[in-house]
Amino acid sequence: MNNCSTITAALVAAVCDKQAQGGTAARVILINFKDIDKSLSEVTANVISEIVLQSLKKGYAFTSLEDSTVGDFALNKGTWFRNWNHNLPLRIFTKSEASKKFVNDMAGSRVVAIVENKEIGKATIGGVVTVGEVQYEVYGWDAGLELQEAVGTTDIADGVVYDLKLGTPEKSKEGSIPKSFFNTNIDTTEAAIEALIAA
Amino acid sequence: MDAYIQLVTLNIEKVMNTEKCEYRLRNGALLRDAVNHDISFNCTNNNISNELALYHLKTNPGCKSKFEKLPKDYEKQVEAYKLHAELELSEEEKAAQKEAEISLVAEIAELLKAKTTKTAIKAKYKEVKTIGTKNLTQRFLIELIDLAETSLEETLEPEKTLEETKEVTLEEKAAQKEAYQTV
Repeated sequence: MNNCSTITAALVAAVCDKQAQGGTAARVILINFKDIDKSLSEVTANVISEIVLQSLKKGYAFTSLEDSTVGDFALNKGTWFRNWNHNLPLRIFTKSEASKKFVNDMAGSRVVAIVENKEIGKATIGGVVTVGEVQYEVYGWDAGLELQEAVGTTDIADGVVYDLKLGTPEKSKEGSIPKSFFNTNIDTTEAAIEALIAA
Repeated sequence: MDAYIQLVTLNIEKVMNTEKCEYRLRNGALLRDAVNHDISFNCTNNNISNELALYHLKTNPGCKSKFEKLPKDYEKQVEAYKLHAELELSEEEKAAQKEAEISLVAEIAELLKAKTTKTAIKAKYKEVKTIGTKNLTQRFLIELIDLAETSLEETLEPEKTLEETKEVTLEEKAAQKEAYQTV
């Protein structure tokens, strides 16, 4: 395997009285992949601090139920390189024309998704405590996410009207696990998130 | 119900007097204070104003690429815009500014004297935008807190020396002994 990266720091992988919280908030921000202006967006050490959109473009809020979005990622072991697949299910619990249009539109779309975790993270760097460094994570930053599966039945089992699965496309892969979206502190980060879906 | 309450509490005058912003950023853009790194100067479409836009264009001309909408004469507006450091104040205005700063330092000193923490003081003045004609930035507030601390130290009574403490104790002891002997 090529030494394309090396471990550069120690890690405290567990703190006895601080178990990570599972689950996600109800809202996911979806942005069309080509609507992001990467030349003006800022990414440093796999942390995104600003996402600037192309002129007149905006992000969209997908609001479902808490914990209904379960993001995950998996290592893709290629012959020469290792990269990542991101996966993100979206569950729709309302049956309406708007929901149906959303599913139809998703079929041909490529998006980037920002997920809000219940685990927000807390780090102390140089004596300064920073909260919120992992609250928001971005899926599909490098390659986008496409609809891999979509299921809807008249049974509406368990209240799920449409069960969608977004994932990394077959021929494009992600260069990292989902990147955090964080800027300075929690307030600044949330202001940046809201700015993506401003009217 | 929310809409009804909003209508009932709406201040029409305030809405009518709100300046219409001539500037608009691209969605997602976040402008940060390039000079003082003051987060109260962060700017997105949700809080943009003409003043804030001009501040950023003046202090960080490169941020122009993040704007969706700029008025045709924005370059003139930027040139005409004066940062506080550039404002030419009259003697009266300078005196008034100094007075306002002294008054705030005194106020902060009283809070410090009452054991209010610096964090609580910063939170208390978080919504205050200006002091006199000057913007009350985070950095400026910290400077004023430092000044208040210094002024407080100068007004505190000097602590008694160990010698003085000892003498008082010995005197008290002697007085007590005499009192017991009398009894």
